[in-house]
Order: sequence, then structure tokens, then C-alpha cells
Amino acid sequence: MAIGLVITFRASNVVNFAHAAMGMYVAFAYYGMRNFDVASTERGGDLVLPIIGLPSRVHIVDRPTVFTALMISLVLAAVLGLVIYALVFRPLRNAPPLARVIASLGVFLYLQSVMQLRSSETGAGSASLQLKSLLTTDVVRLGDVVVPTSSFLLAGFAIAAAVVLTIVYRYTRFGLATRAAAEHETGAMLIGLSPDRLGFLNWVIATVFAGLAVILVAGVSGRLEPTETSLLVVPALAAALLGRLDNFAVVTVAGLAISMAQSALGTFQARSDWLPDWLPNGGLRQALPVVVILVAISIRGAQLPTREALVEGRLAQSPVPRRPLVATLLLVGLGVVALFTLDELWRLAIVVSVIAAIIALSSVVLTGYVGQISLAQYAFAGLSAFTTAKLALNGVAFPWAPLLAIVLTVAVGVLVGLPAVRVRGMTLAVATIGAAIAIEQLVFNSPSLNGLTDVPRPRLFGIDLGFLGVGRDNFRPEFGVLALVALGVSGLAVANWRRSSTGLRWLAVRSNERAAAAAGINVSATKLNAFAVSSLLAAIGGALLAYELPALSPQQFMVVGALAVLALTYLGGIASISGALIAGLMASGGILTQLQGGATAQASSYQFAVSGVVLIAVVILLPDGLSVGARRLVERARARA
Amino acid sequence: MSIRKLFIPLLLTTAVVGAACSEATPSKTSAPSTTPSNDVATKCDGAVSVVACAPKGSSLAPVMPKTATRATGTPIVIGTINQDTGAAGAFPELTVADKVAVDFINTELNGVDGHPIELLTCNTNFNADLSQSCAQQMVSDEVVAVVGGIDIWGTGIKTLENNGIPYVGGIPVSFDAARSPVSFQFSGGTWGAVLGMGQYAIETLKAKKIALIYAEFGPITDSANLGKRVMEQHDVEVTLVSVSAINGDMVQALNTAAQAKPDAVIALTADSGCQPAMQTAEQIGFTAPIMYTGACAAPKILDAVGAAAEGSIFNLEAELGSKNPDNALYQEIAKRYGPKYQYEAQGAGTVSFRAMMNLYSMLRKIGADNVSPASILAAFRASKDTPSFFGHPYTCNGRQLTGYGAMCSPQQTLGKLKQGKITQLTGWLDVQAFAR
Repeated sequence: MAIGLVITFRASNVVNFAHAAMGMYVAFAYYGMRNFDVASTERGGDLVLPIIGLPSRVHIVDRPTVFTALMISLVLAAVLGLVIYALVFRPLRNAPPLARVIASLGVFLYLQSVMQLRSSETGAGSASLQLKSLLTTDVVRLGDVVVPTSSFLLAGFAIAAAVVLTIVYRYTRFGLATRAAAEHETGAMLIGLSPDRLGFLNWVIATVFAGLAVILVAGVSGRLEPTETSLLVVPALAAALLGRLDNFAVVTVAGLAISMAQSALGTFQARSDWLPDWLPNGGLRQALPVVVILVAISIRGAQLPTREALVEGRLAQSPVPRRPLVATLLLVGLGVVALFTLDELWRLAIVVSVIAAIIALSSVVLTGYVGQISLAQYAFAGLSAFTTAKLALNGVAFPWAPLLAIVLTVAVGVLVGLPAVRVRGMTLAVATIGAAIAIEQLVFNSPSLNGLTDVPRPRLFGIDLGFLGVGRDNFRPEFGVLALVALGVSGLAVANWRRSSTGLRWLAVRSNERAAAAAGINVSATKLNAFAVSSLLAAIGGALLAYELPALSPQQFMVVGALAVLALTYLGGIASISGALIAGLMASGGILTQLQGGATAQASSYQFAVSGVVLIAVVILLPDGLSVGARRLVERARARA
Repeated sequence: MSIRKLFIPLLLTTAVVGAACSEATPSKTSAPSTTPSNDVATKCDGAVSVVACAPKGSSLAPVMPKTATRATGTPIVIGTINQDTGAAGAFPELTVADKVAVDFINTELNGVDGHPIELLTCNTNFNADLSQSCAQQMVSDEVVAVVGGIDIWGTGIKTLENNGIPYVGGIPVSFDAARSPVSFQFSGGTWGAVLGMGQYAIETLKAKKIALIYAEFGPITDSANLGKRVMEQHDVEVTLVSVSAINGDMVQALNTAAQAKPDAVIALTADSGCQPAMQTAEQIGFTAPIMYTGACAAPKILDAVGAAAEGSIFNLEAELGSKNPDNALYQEIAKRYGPKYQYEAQGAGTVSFRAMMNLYSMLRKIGADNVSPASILAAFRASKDTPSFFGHPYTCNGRQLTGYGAMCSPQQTLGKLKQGKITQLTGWLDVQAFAR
């Protein structure tokens, strides 16, 4: 899987977060065709289609053999690679790294949700697919450890693939041409190479690798589930990063080493008693390699990018907030009026949107203003929520519980920001997704945080600011006002930072780190400062969540949520405060959901898939987001008038 | 190399093998049936209604009219909250089961004393805020009770609790579902399952070492810790093996469990973990009995696993076959009313169906004129060994499983897959007595 990531990165400078999701679809196609009992008269051979509007399945051939199904699936993988490159990544060749990250999240969201729908159509879902391994099911006994032979074979395939690809990319004309085009596209064109054609071919190879990898892994592990399998990209990214997304051999060794380390750790955990009870064992296995990688890339990265690391494409427009105090007072005033006049379901929707907007603001600061692609913001919010709840349940009164939680979260945010001093762009995105997973697995899954419910109601100066009430008084406006004030203060602070010298330093670092350093800006301090501010904002949102939700669960802060936060903020406008507000409006359960009829309205099964398509369309057509797009329309209308 | 050069060989290869690309069809069908036994004949062929052919021993017999009667009065509104769609799993069959049950009640059972049940459905969409929104919608629409489905967050239950609205049945997958004073559950969830399996392993299999594999997800982790604590009190050595809820490696987990040389293994896993666990057990030649949650007994999963599933043990929370006439009645209702919704009788929908039927029986007992959230709460709290549809009689006194007051009938039965068919392995296991 990691090898495929390296191929796409080499060919088109894209870290494809949808890589495993693409492989997942191909594996579904394969196992879907082979989903018949050879001893029965079932005909099988149905090919699952991932396109909304087309039938979910078409019959290809009765009772396909393993070879036939595999060939059809791999051809399908090739077509999928071609289509995704042509429709999504080719138009974004010269776009900034963030645009490509968001586009790959769009593809991820689309494939994952469409396949979720397709698999649930079969009744017992994906768990009912016959996942017969293509490899032998024999085992090898090493002492009292039993190792399936298929594990050795999988490792052998990975090594063989790495060797072949190393030779191809180092010694063949195609390989050399790919490297040339990746390093200098214009130069490659001048010597008669076609970067487009090379891009297509590399995407085909990468997708075929992804499909083959997931088919083999699903057969051995017996698991094929749209969300789970799509998230296999995370350990693959870890391995790919250790090989600097360049070296097939190092990537392969790193991938194998990570798997072996996880297995060894699992065995060690079951046999040893000294690990503390509050540490989640399964989570430790998932998180440890990620932590190691975070440290590794921090050490290996450089404080400043190399001279040839060009700033790619134009950056998202970051308008200077106009009259922020007036805008804030108007917004908060309007919100307060709405809270005291609308019904309880609207009050809930407003609060959900307000909290989501605060968390989205943290992405605006870090990613929009400073250019640091962070996927850890939702994890920071979760950290603050869990800490607030735990402290409050242990008798720490409001506002001290949330304040302490915010301080802790800012400290963790700065700690996570340390790698940002040395890595940037796509690498930082991967590092922060790793940090988010580490926090999720090690902290949120801790048994000591299990079952946090009934957090004491917040009270200030004798005023009950609790959210829950009785009857139509539920979702009390008093809490809504607290959330609105938090949003107003946060928005105002961000607007002032944006207008101050701090904001200018942020934008300077975003534009060109070397130039910023030459102008006397302390790039490292500026980045850490932005991490502190953004984690502060995420922590404020998280602390509010602790009082808004009657029960906290680790799954509320899963990494998929982090992807959604970044995607929504990008849709709204990643470098503008109004972008965060639009993200809040669009948050699931927020104002837009309520406008569509709320939870009892018939939800479209294709809601998530459509979101993925919209996301891709916005990245390509409106790279500055909806807020800046709307502002431009207004300006054009004014100019005409 | 051009793209064309790459594709032509691939397409040609596919075309060539296409001519001989199919597995041979066997001369006769030999697919094993893994559908739970359904030995009770309902004599329903040709019957005009389910009521006309319903078995007499059913738990619904006291509320069954002599002939099918359609309810035409003013409706009684009941809500249901379920994750019909969502980024991490969709379980529409639970809502559909409620609809099937309500159709049957309104069409044949004369509703509640002539008043049809109106079902208000709400989808949490895997969102904690929408769970709250659903609950508040139920409050606003003045439902008399909410039938539970699968709600991972359970955040809406607090709103129901604050408004005194009963939350009846479903699959308890949140702490509030298992503990709220307005929640009444006719399933033991993973808490009941682990205790039932532990009891069987210790008392029947005489196990001294047990490995407990569990997915790290709040309530499941809590169940595993409860199981460990209780089993250790019975002087059994318990090895806990956790797997991450996402992409947990079952191969490694079973390997780790095997190294502890256990006499039995308990696997608390979601349905996506069933197939890998069963296949791995066969692959590594693991011979100790392995007990899975009922989700793994879904016929489609067992069919997919094939022979490797043979000998697996499951918690069922029901008595199969001739011992339970509710089974036959349920199958007949599903056959007649299910096709409209493409409802499949074997699956998680059974639990919702049970909840709706138990609520219905309670409404009939209360009487349409007296139905209110408060009267339903009082009636459930006063219940004692009340017959449960296709389940153990329930008592909702908050003391059926210590620490989990909403469990009204945490008792378990176990079944075993023998020659492709699930057969009853135990009678009802009193998990509370075992936990004590």
C-alpha cells in the first residue's frame, strides 16, 4: 500500500489520502464477483459500481474463477486510477498542496460512503462477503507462536514489488522520465516528455497496487469494511513517510517493521502485568508506530525548506476583516435574538453550528493563515472536552475546569507543533493525522475516561448556564449565549491577530519561509505561536462540547471527524473568518441540517457521497472557498452598478 | 511505454480467460443452511391472517384477538431512534422491524384498543447531536414512548430521561441505554453476553483459563472488564486481549490468546471481526471452544465463513425451535408484512421487533385510555417475570444486573453451530446470580 503512495507522490506530488479507499473499492469488486459458494448453483459475478445514479451492480460473468475476477478487478483499478487522475488531480497539478489534500479527502469521502451504501444493501453488510484468501492458509510454528504462511508470502510480494519498482524507476526510460517530470515539469516537457501521460500511467500503476494490496490483505485478515479499510492509509502513510515518499526499499522495510513491532507489542502486552490499567492496550499498538514516526520526521526534517522547494500555485485569498467589532456585535446580537425566539430544535442547531465554527476557526488560523496543514484540530477539541468533563466530574467548578483543560490542550498543541518547525506541507498533514490518531488511541480510549456522563452544569455568578432543560425549555438559550460569546471573542481575537503584525508574520511564513526568515521573522516561533493559538481555539470548542453533550465517547472525535472539519472549513474559505462561520453552518446537526428538516427528515443515503463530490468541485472551481467566492460576486455586482 | 501498450495486454488477457472464466456448477445443491431452527409449524399456509394461525403458546396470546381486526381510532404516537444511515455503519433493519411490527399490530391486532400506533422515526446519522435532536423531536411531538434501535452515542436518552419518556429496548450500545432510569432493555448487551459465556465456560466446560478478546470501544471495554472481574472471582485466570475498534488485527489477537493456552475463548467483536476470528482459529488449529456475540451468528456471515464456523458458540438471548412459539409467529409476521420493506427476518431487527411487541403488550395492559409516558414507566417498573416476545421474561426493577439498572432481562442462552445449523446449547443462564 505504501509503495502505491510513493508512486503517486513521485508522479504528481500528491499524498493520496484516498489511496486505501481506492483499493477498498477494487477489493469489493473482486470479492463481490467471487461471492458465491462453489458447491452451490449461485452464479455470483456481479460487479459493484461506485457511481451514483447507475445501478449498484451489473452482472459480468457467471461464477468467475479467481483469475477472471482478479483480472477484471485489476483492469477496473486501472480505469479508476485513470478517471480519478483525469477528473480530480490533473486539474490540480499546479494547485497548492492543501488543495490536493482536500481533493483526496473528497475522493476518500465519496468512495467510502458509496461503498458503505453498497455493502449495506446485502443485508448483513460487508461482514457477509466471502473473503477467501488468494494465498495458502498453511501456518508455520515458531516456538509457541503460530504464523500464517500468508504473512511471509505477503512480505515476499512487498519486497519483490519494491525491487521491481526500484529497477523500473531507476533504470528504464519510463522510470527516468517519471523522475524527470516530477523534479522539473517544464524541463521535462522541453525534452519531449509528456507529464500528463506519465501522470496517467503512474496513477494506473498505483491504483492497481492499491487494489491488489487490499485484495490480498482482506483475504488474509478476513476484514473488508469501507471505513476501516479506507483508514489503512494511515499506517501506509507512516511507512511511506519514513521512506521520504521516495525510496521504495526503505518504505517496504518500514512497513514490515511497523507491522512486526505491533505484533510483538501485542504479545508483550498480553504477557506482562506492569502496563498501567489506564493505558488502552489496543490503542497503544496503533499509536506507538505513529509516535515513533512523529519523532523520526521531526529529527529528519529541516528547519527551512530547501531553495528549490518552490511555493506552488497561488495561495488562498485571506481578506482583511473589515470592522470586526461591528460584525461581531451584529452576529452575536442576531444569534441571541434567534436563541430567545426560535424553538428548541433550532437552539440546538445554532449551538452545534457555533461550536463547529469555533473549531473551524482553529483551522483558519493554522492552515489558512500560516499554511500548516493540520488534521489534529478535532483531536485537540476532544482532548479539551474529555479533560473538562473529567475535571468537572472530579469536583473542579466552572470555569476552572474548562480553563485548566484549555491550558493543557494548548500545551499539547505546542508539543504537536514541534514537528511543524521541521516539516511542512503534505508531510505535516500526515504528521498531524498521526498525532490525532495517537491522542485518540492513547487518551480517548483510556479506560479511565470510559463512560463520562452527567457532567455538572456550568454556573457563573449564580446563573445556570446548563444546556439541558425540560420540555420545550430544553437546549437552554443561556448556554447558547455562552457559546455565542465564546465565538464572538474568538472571532474578534482572530480578526485582530490577522490585522496585527502577528498576522502579517503568519502570512509571510505561509508565502515563503525562506523569505520570511530573511526578513527577520523567527519562522519556528511564528509556527509554534500559530499552533498555540489554533489549539486554544479548538480547546474552547471542545470545552463547550463537554457541557453540550450529555455523554462523551472517543468515537465522537475519530480522525474521520478531523478530515470533515478541515474539508468543511476549506469549503467555507480556509483563510477567512467567514469561511469558519460557513463551515459551522454546514456542520452535521447544525443550521443547514435544521433548514433541511432536521433529524426526522428523510436523510438522503447519498448525503456523504454528494459532499465528497461537492468538495472536489469546490477545490477545482472555487479554490478560495465559498465565502471568498461570494465576496467576489458582490464586488463584481458593485463594480457593475 | 505508453498507456495503450499497458492496457492492450491486460484487456487481451481478460478477454482470453473470459472464455473459460467460470467455476463449474455442481450437479446438485449442497449449500448448508445456517438459519436458526424453525421447527414450529404455524399451519399458516392459506390462512387469511397471522392471527388466524398464530400458535397458542405465544407471549402475544393474551392480546391476540380471535380474528384479525384493523384499528381505526385516533393514533397513539410512538417514536423510534436509530442509526439508519451513517459514515461508520448503517442499521436500517431496526427501524424497518418496528414498521413491520406496527403494520401487524394496526392491521390485525386492532392496535391499542382500537387506536392504531403511529410510528415517528428519527435517524441519528452517526451524529451525537442528531441523537439529541431526535430525542427532543420525540418530546415536542409528545410521543408516549421511544423504541430504541442502535444509537452509538445515546446522547438523546438524557433528554428523554429529563422529560420522563420511556426508552424501550433496542440494542444497548451506550452507557445511558444500560443505566438510565427511563431505559428498559430486553437484551443484556455485551455485558450480559460476556457473563453468560463466562458462566458456561466455567460451570459447564470447567475452564480454568479463559482468554477474553474485545474491541476497544467504551461499553465493550467496560463489558470485558466486568467479565474479567467476575470470572476471576470464580478463581479463573483471565487473559484480556484487546484489539483496536478500527482495523483490529484478529489474527494477532487470536494468536496472542492461543499463547495463554486457554480452555475457552470469549470474543466480543463487532460483525466485521467474526469472519477473521473464525478463519484464523481454523488456520492456526485452535481447538478450545470459542464463544462469539450473537451478531456473528447472522446466516450470511456463517455462510461466508463456511466450514471454519463449525463448532462456534454464540449468545442468543432466545430459545430456538419448538421451545418458543414466538419464533414461529415472528417468522410468519415477517413473511407477510416484511416484503413491503424488504425486511430480512434473521438479523438485528429481531431485537427491535421484540421491543415493539413488549411495549405493545404493556400498552394493552395499561389500556388506551390510560396510556401516557408516566403510566408506561410505572408499568415497566412494576413488571415482574413479564413474558417477553421471543426472549426471557423480564423484571424491570433495576436490580437484574448490578450496575446496569436498565437491564430487565440480561439472561442468556447459548447456541452452537453443528453441521451448519445453530442448535440450542444451554437453557437460560442467570448471569446476575453468576456475577454476584
